[in-house]
Amino acid sequence: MKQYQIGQFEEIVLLTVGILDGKAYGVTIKDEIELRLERSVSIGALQVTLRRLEKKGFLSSAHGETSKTRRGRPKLFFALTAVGRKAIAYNRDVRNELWNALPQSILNLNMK
Amino acid sequence: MDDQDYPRTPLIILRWFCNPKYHPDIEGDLLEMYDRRVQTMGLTRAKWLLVKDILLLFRPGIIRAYSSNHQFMVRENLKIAGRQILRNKVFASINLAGLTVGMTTALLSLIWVQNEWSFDRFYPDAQKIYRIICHWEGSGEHLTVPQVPIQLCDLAREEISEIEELFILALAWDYPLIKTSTSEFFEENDLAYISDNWLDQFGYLATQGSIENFRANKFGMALTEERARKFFGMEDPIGQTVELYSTSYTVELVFKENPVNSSFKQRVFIPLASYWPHRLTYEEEIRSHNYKFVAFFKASDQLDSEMIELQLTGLMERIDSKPTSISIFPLVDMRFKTQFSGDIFDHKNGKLVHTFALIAILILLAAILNYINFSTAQINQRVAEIGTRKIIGATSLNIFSQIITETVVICLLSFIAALAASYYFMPYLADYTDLDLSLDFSNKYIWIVLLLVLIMATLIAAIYPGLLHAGVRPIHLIQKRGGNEKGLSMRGILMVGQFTAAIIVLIGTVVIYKQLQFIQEKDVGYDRSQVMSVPLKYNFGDDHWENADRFDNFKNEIEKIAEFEAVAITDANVANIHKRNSGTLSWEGKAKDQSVIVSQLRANADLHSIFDFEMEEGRWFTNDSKDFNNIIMNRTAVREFDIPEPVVGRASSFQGRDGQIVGVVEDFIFSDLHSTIEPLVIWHNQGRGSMLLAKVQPIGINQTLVKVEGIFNEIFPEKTFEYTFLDQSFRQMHEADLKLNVLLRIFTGLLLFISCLGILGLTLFEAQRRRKEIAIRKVLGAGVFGILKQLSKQYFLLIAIAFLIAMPVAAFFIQKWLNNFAFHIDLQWWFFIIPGISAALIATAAMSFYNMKAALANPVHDLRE
Repeated sequence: MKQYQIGQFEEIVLLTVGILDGKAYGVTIKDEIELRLERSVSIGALQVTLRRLEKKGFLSSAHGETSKTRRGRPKLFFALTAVGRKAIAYNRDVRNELWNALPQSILNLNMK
Repeated sequence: MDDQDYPRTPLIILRWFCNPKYHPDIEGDLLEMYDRRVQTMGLTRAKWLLVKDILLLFRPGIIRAYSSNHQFMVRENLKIAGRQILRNKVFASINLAGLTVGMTTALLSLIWVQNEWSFDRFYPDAQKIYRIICHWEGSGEHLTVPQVPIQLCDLAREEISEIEELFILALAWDYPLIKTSTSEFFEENDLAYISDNWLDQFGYLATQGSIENFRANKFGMALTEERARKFFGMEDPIGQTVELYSTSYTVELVFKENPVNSSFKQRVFIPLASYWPHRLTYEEEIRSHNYKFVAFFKASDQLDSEMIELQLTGLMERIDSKPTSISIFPLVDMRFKTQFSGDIFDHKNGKLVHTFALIAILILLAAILNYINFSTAQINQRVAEIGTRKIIGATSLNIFSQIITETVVICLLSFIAALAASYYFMPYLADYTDLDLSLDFSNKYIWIVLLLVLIMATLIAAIYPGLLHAGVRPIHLIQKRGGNEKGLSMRGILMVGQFTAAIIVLIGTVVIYKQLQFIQEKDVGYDRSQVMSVPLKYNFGDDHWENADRFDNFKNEIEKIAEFEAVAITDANVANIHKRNSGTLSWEGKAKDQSVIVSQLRANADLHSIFDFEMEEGRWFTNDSKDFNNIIMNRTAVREFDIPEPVVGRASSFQGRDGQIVGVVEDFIFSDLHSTIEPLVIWHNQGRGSMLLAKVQPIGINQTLVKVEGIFNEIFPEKTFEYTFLDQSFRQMHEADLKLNVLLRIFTGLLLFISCLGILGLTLFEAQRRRKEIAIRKVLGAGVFGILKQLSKQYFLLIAIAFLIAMPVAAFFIQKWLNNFAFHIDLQWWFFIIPGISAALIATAAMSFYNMKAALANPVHDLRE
């Protein structure tokens, strides 16, 4: 299933777009990731990833309303496409499979 | 918040590079976040973060795609550039050769300058550290003493509030001998006493032991890694005890040697606290106020250096009755901007290094001028090409960018070659300059140097030809001209510039060569040939006279060797006497307020038998004890101190010995030729001293040396045998000048080489252009010589102009250089004429190559086309 293979940051972005459900545009995605993962995200890295995911067909985008603070610039809302949803599901399955295959002894040595 | 209130410039930059499809919403996001950040973090930080975000957006994926048209143009330009190079192989290789040489010299010398500039700048707070030095004022004499008495340090620390911390270093001047627990002896000339804050301030890094332990132990010792290995081999150095000055020191610290661009090169440190009472008691030290301590201080932020100097001079009056003034200068200037003799740290003549960098850049510039010359010379051949392209629709900008591309290609190729060449020659330069030079790509300054050279060279080379070519109009196709006359006069000016520079350095080379020859052959007032000196290194701590028997023994043994004509014990290598004394010389009838500074030499009758000094008046010493308190002066001393007649027989006192002046010796030179002959007092040494001088027969010198070494090792088993010949040490004193000569010769050669490449190219071009003219002239009966004259005369005119410009400029600078020497040659007319003529000859040779070819060619070939 090569077409679903995505990187870790891509996965995070896809999931966050999903979490935000219709309210996902640059600033909110950045805030959400920073809040949940406690890491800082540069707009550059985020935008590149968003456009790449869109090009691959995992995300769709649509121009939305603007606000005073944006000085008339539109928001670009992102949403998961069907392929995008499949991709995250696929990734979770793959990971679960791997986790299930992990021997118990290794798991016990896990941190905490 | 105001809608319109946001920083626009960064957003304009964003709009410039950002893919237009993505641009509006990204800008919206940025503005939204900017507003939020203004609220939470304040304006400045928000602006800064906005800039940072935009910079981070500059990445593939966001950057707009090159328009396909643009890509096409770049590709076409590169293709044309390649064809242009292949079509004009000679020009291209001349350009490549010249630019490579120019860039290599520029790179090497700029890296050198960068390295020199980095000296002593890396310590914490380096900018706040100053050094204190003293100046003794004598009657008409001025002497800089780079050390201060210890009392000044103590007083300054207490009484001057601007001085936050004071750092003291004292060298052990007396060949210290370190004895390890295995009873091995090591001579240690890099030993120094330091105050306990020294290591922290000057960034020493501990590798074993700790700085705290070293500080805590009054008899602790700190070593470099290299010394630790030398003394203790593989054993753990920490905790080892060594004997030094009959005192036992414990190794508490092994540290990493400072980087090469630190002035502080001492390898073994012991605490200043152990200086007393081992040498003198502290009270004795204060009484005798020895000028032995190198002092630095860290200043508070606001420093009025003149006021500090006044305060320090004031303190000095309380310490020493001698008229002494104090000056301070920043540590970062120590390497480069200060020049005084007798310092324990190395200095470099900053002007000299900068002059070389300047010449190196001139060489690069000369190569660039060649490029510009060739490029503009070819314009006629390209009128058709450019005109046609313009008719089809190319804009001036298209043509301009094409020429730029050609230049960039040539410059980049040369730059790569120059990088390789620099890499290859760097070790030689490092050796020559005694610096740790390398193409270290982790050093950001190296990158700055590299980019600077590449970008500047490309820009200068590209712009003028670019504009000239871009200015070609299609009408020129029909008119058959393309700014030809203007181009020629411009080329003339550039060539004059090149040859002016070449002739200037050529004159410099000749004069410097003559001056160095003069130095080698200068009559110094005594015969120094075949005189060897052997330092008899003794310990200060042992009583000097304790070893007297061994010295006498050594001298007697040496005298027995038949090859030695005369042997004497003294305290200095006569070619280089640097011991000075201030204040203790007096004579009958000396004015009370007259303070004198003299150089001093200790000798007895033996010395005269080696050098046969000429006596102006009176006599030399005898070895009789009646002479022990007497002194001899040189003529300069008598003249400068205005000692009244009769000089010989006048009662005198020197270093606390009351005797009389028994003779006046004719002046002889006892330092390098930069300084004038100074007043000298020779006093009796009772046959004792720290240096053995011996005149030796040149035949079988090697066997003689082996014999001497054998005797030395037998009598002084703990010391290593060293010797020099006076000729050699005289040469060493002028090493800087000799090195200058070497480098200048290389540079002169390179500059001439590039100028000749220029001439070569231009004559080739001219000969090609005037092919038909020459053929017709030949058909009509012109001889080869006549045609050569036709082709060459304009260049001779240019060289003549260059010579006229170069002469006064060279005379000015070279006279300035010669004035560095107290003894120097006078400028003579032929110093200028010979370089002028040789430049002309070399240029003739270069231009004859193609001119001859053109003159000898068969006219039929050129006319039948």
